Amino acid sequence: MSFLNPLAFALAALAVPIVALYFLKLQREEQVISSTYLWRTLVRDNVANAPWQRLRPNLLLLLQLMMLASLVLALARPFTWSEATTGDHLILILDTSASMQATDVLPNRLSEAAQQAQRLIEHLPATARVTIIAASDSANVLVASSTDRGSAERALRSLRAGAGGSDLSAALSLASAIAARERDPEIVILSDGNVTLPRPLPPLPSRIRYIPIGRGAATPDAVVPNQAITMLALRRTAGGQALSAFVQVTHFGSTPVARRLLLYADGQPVAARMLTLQPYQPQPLTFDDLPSDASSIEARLDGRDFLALDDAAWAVPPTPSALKVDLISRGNRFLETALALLPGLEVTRIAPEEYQVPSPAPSAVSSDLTIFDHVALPEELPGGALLILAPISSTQLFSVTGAIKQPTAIAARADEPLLRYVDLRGLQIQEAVRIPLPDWARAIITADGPDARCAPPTSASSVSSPEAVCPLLLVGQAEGRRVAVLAFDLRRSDLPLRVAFPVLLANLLDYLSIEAKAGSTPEPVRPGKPHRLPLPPDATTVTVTKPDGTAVRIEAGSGLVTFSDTTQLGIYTVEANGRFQRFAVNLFDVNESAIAPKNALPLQGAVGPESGHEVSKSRQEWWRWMAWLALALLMGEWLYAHRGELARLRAAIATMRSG
Amino acid sequence: MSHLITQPSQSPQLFSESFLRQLDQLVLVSRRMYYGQMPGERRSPRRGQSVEFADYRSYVLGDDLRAVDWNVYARLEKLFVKLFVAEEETTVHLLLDASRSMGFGHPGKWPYAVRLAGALGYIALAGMDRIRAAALGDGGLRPTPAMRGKRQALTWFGWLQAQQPRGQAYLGPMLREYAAYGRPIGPALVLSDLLDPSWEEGLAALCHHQFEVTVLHLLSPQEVTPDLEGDLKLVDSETGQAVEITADYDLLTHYRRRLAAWQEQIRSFCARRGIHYVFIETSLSLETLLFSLLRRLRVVK
Repeated sequence: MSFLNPLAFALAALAVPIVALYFLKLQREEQVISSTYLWRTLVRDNVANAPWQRLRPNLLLLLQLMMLASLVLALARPFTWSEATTGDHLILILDTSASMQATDVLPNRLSEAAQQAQRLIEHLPATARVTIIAASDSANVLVASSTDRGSAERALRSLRAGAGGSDLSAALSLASAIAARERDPEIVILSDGNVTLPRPLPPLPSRIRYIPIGRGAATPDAVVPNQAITMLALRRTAGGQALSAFVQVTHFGSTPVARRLLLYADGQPVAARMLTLQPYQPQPLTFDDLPSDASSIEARLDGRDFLALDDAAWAVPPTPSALKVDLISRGNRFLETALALLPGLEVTRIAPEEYQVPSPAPSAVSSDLTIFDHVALPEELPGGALLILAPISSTQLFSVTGAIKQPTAIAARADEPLLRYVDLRGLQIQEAVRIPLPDWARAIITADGPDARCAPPTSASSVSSPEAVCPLLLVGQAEGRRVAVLAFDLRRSDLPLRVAFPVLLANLLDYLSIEAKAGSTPEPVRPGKPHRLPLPPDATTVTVTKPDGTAVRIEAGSGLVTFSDTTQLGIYTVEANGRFQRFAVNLFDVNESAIAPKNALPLQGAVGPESGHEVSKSRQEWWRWMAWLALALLMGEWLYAHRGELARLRAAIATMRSG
Repeated sequence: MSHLITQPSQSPQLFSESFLRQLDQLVLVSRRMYYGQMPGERRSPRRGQSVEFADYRSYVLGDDLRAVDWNVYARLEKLFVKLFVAEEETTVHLLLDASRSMGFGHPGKWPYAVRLAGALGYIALAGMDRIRAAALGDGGLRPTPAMRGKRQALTWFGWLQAQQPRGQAYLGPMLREYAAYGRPIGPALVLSDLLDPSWEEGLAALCHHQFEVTVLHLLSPQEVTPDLEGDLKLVDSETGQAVEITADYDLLTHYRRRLAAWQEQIRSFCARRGIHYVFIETSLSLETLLFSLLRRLRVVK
């Protein structure tokens, strides 16, 4: 320890008058009393009871001398050398990515980083300038080349960790641009190390230092366990009747843990599952039969870990877009009624004479599904899925080789999903078309009966196979689309009168419409990234309600609005012309969820040739502490000197209270 | 507290006439019978002339025939002499602590003690008792000759007023000395502040010599609740010994506790030896003390 102002020690001479005054004061006032008989024993008792009694008269003097000593020390301005940043310009890059919200150091990593930055700034020489850059997905200069420590402190205090990732490229190029203009700059990165560095690193014209933040950040293999929901996707099934969710939970840690996953639909719990998570093995989960009318689904890990941000995920169910169906028919009451009852269908009935196959050009409006009901098939089949009922003639997909009289319908497989809830027993069919099973198809219902044998088709591959049995219902994928063929006319069987009919039709439509629906799932939105809102063309203003309830109004220009304030995680509601749509913003970032801090960053390449690695030192002054100590001693001395009054006061208060 | 030293009263008039008339009503209570030298008003262990019958005994030659109980002779034809309780004076010993410590207090202990001793002595004189007194102080005993009869009251008051609280009283040796020669023995009234380490020894000596001891323990209000403050050097008025204290709340609390313990010690000592103990704070008026407190405590009646 050294002193800036050693001359102040001369003031220690003030101790002499204090001691002198004390001795003067010690000349006690003499008072003659009748007898000291009682006092003598009293003082003896006191001395016997309290060994420090003898010291008592000196305690005041001691306190006063100590106070003087600390005041003199404070005036002498002692200081110690401490390792710190020097130089003219300190450029601080603070990582504000999602992982900096981890609470493995309290209150969180960002606060810890801000404290360390504050300490660095305090140790700077008074003339040095400070630049503070907050880096997440983008770089944000909070304080630019300022000597105002107050504004730096305010900026550090106002730092908030976002939900974004951490790409240091922008921050580093910004910092190097600032550093290039300076004489002796130093760049300090305060981060947990879960960052993306530019490859290759640009050469930096300054010294660069990385200060790791996080529990055990100084050790090479720190482990900070964290569990995260790394995926949540929703899918509609069975003609839009039910909703299923796919969730992926990943554990970033070294030992297996158990967590409970809860699923909420519009805030109501709908499912829960206990998970045992193995380190770094994403655990996929599927939840079926979620309420189909839910406007949002939230998955949440019960309990707490060090990063709360990735313990929840949200998703918006895909909007069931109407399935365009062209029905080519001369009129089929059964079929039309059944189709009308199924939700999400937009059925257009076209007479076979008027039907024209749409052109295959992508711009043309084509139907998702075309149903041919006992009509002659056109030469060129339309695009999209096909459901063909009782074909009259052969087509390029299959051949019609005759008719079967009164076949008995038998399920080809007992566990056929398409025949779920469909009871075929006692089904009466007057006549069916004989269709040998083509290569691309599989039989769902087969015919049984005296003339139910089918000659194998031209291909020799299936000679010995049991496909010699004629199919009554066949499905498959041909020429890149799904095709189903029912070999009998509905009007010539009692199927439409049975409960099985609408069920079978729903199953078939579900099967046939899979591809049509795949495209309508909303794309996931990353936090901080702009999201394009598709709008109705007549919308002029859009109101976006953020997860925390705040609403933002946006003027819509040309039917497309880009919304960029997506820093919050959760469900955003977009309202335009009274129509609502939603989108979800989720973290889903393995880099941010793996929160174990890294003790070093690969920064070697970035260090400029001119920067040395000598450890610079700065003075740390101690006079404030000494002044505080003197104040404390002064208070202690006062309390001691007035202890009698204080005791009397205490006794008075006690009697008042008891009285 | 030096300003509290009180000069002995120069007034020749210790008590008013009316007060003396009130004192005439009082009698000192003695629980024991003592042999006296002169006839008086107290029952004595002797047989003598009074109206109170004591015993019979056989007539022997030389007995006064007037004392023969003729009624008994008529019945038994034997001569019996009727004996009566003798009524004699008793000697009341008034032992007044006249050490310098008695000259303190406000109201002063010394004037208080002088008036109390005067009143008690007057009561004894008025009750046909003999008094002997001694002032204990200034390195020795200052005894009085025996006084008897109301006529001696002025002598008694004069002697009292001539005394001054001086020097040191060694209660132990002085009381022992008095107990040895103070004859005839009788009730002994000790007026003292007992601020001397040897008080136990002195009182024990009096008891040992069959005195019926009553301790009138006088303390001034300043001694019961000291009004001291700050860092002080307390000097003993008798010995000149100094005690340095810092009179704070704690210490004064300790003092009060110590005083109470000391009083308790005196009280239990007195109780063990059959000594009457009366604690008197000098703020108590003499009238209240004599006509109320001492009556209640059966010191006077």
